[in-house]
Amino acid sequence: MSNHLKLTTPVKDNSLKGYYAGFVSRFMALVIDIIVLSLIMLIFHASVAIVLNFFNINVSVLLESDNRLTTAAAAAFILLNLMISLFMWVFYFVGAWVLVGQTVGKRILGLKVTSLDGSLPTFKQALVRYAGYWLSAIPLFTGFLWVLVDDERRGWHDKISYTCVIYSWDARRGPWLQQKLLEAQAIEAGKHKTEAQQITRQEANQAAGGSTGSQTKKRLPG
Amino acid sequence: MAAIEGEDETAVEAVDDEMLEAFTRLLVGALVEGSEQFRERLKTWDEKTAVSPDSLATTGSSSAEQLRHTLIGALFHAEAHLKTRQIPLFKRAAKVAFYSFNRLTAPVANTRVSRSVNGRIDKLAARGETFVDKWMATGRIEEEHGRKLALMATQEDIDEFINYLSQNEELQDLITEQSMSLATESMDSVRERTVTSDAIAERFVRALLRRPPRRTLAPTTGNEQQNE
Repeated sequence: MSNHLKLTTPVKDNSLKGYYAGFVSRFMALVIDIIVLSLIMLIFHASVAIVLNFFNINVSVLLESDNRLTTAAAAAFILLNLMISLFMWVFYFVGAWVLVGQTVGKRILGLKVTSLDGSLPTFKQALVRYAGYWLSAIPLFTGFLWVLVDDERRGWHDKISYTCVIYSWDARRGPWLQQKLLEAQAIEAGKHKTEAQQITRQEANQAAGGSTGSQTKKRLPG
Repeated sequence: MAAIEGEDETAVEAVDDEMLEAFTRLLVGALVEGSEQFRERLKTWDEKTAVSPDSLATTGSSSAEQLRHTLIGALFHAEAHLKTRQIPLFKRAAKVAFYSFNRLTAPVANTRVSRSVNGRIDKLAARGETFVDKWMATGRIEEEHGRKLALMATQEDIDEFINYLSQNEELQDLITEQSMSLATESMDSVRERTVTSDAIAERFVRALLRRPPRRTLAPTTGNEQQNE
């Protein structure tokens, strides 16, 4: 564990700005986004319902009407409503990624979506990424959980759109974890030093073996 | 010149008198209003803090406590006794004493000499009554005036204080700054926790799947790296 942590992230300055963001932060951001979008959708649908109620229109009654034209109009209205809802979802995510690289949830948690070169994603990339969300969700959200095991903390939707999510704030770990990492780094540094000393000694021994016997008996510097 | 100086002095004295009068009025008003407010609050507190005798344990108290309780109880019983028995008794006694005194002094009071004295006393009493009535009327007016004055003074002071607070830019800046820093701190704290959770969750899953640790240092990507 300690090996994994110290090799993936810098320890000394405890700043993770620009590094790949982890699963929990991304999950929390997505939850916030879903809440925000649900509120927007609620307001939209409530507004539509108020307008329909004002004109005394009941869509479900119209849908069961004997008049074909009325039924078709009601069906078209429901379809349009669904299309607008879908468009709002797409517009929210894709628009936010393309324009600033951050949705509301990502902004709150200090995350940013970027291309692999660090620039903002293009419209095409953002669109593919949004489609990738569904792709990641279909096999029991495996595509999202992939973030936990991937070396670059990228899910399927990130991979297919050539994007990644990074910390856009001066991210830092909690004091407990930071302390653990520092301890692990100190142990690692000590081990490396011992290994280096052993190698130096071996090389020195080999060099001494090629020369005179008296020289081999010489004590090597530690 | 001397006349003008004299007028000035009179005007100053008049202003001082008015100030003194207003101050007295304010003092009286504050006293009356304050005592009334206090009385009302005391009544409310008394009702709120009433203790039921059933809720108290009667046994297990020490002798010192028992003595203290007895004394306090005696005090309250004495007060109740005074209210119900002694005061009506005093009133009755005063009535009897007055009646007896009248009867005793009747032969002297009804003589010719005393009649003229009685007439003068009645006149004095009537005059005194007029004074009392006048003072009462003034007191009633002044009390009301004083109350209003006290209320206005306190109300205006409070309003002015609130105005001062709302218009003080330094204070507003301070409040804004404090709110902002509190919000930023809270947000940073939440972010910090999620960053820690990221590492812990990853550690757990990787340990569970027995996956080797990540060998590559996560790169700081283009723009973000440059910004740093």
